[in-house]
Amino acid sequence: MIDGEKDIIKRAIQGEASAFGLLYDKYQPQIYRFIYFKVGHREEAEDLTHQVFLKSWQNINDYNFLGFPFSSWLYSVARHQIIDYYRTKKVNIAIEEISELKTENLDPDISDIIDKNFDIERIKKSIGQLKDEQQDVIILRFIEDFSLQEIASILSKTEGAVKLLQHRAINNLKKALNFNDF
Amino acid sequence: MNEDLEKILKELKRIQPDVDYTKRSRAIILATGRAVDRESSRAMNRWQWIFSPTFVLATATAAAIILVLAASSWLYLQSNQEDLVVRASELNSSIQIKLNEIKYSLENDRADLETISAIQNLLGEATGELENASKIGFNKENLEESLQKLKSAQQILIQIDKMLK
Repeated sequence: MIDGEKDIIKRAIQGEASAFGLLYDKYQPQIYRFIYFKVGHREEAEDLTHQVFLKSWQNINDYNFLGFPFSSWLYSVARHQIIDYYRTKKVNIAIEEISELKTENLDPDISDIIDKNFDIERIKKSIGQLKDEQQDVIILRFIEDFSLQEIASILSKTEGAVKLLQHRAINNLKKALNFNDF
Repeated sequence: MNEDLEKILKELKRIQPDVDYTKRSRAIILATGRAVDRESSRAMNRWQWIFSPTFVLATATAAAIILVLAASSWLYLQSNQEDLVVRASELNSSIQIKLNEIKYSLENDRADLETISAIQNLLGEATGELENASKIGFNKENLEESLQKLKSAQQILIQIDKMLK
């Protein structure tokens, strides 16, 4: 959550485009990542991210502050956008070459681990093999550092249900990655 | 959870959207009017519509049409050629003022930007015709040609008027 977020949202609701611009700057990268992992294509992720923020801007009046960050609402919009995308597209989307993440920019220790055992491409594919909600939990919990409570809000589930999902997601991801060999 | 797996997942946070795409997308979104704004426009009370750019454009166009029609009639009826030139210049100035008003409206309200932009271009064309008429002059020999230019401007303004209806 950004400083003074409540006030910024209020200004955005009143129609101040620059206020929504601040929200866009803060949350667009993480919404993009979330969508990117779900659809596997950079350009599709860009189009969907654009749609999510366009819809959010046009319907920001629908947002109600209930103690959760604005991002929770954005993720909900993003999830619906992705569902619509798959409903209309019904194609198997190949996971593209990952160009956004250069291994030379990685933490040296992580680079070693990745070089030795598997590449980022494989991680992406493995996340893509999980069920939708398990993907959501892995991305939100371990990539974006959301709390269980926040994830529960985004997924419209109880915290207990999210914990269970998380447990299954981790196990399945480990299996997909043959993590025991790691 | 295995610490190594957790570290790797954290590294995925480095994935960032393309900078150029982000700039483009941001600009487009922020330039797009909100649904609620459009609804509010529709819900304007009976006096607020006076301040809408569409009304300003309609007023400007109507005023321009009246001016051109008046000038055309006047040109046919009058014989004082110096006065004709002065009148044509005045007419041109009036159109320019209206264009400035439209520009001001555009800068303060983005509703129907595409249509308003097209109208603005047409008004520019109309002004061009008036300028041409002014350049040609209003001597006996070229009065007919000048009047054709004025009529052309008049037709453009009528076209704009139709677009606004």
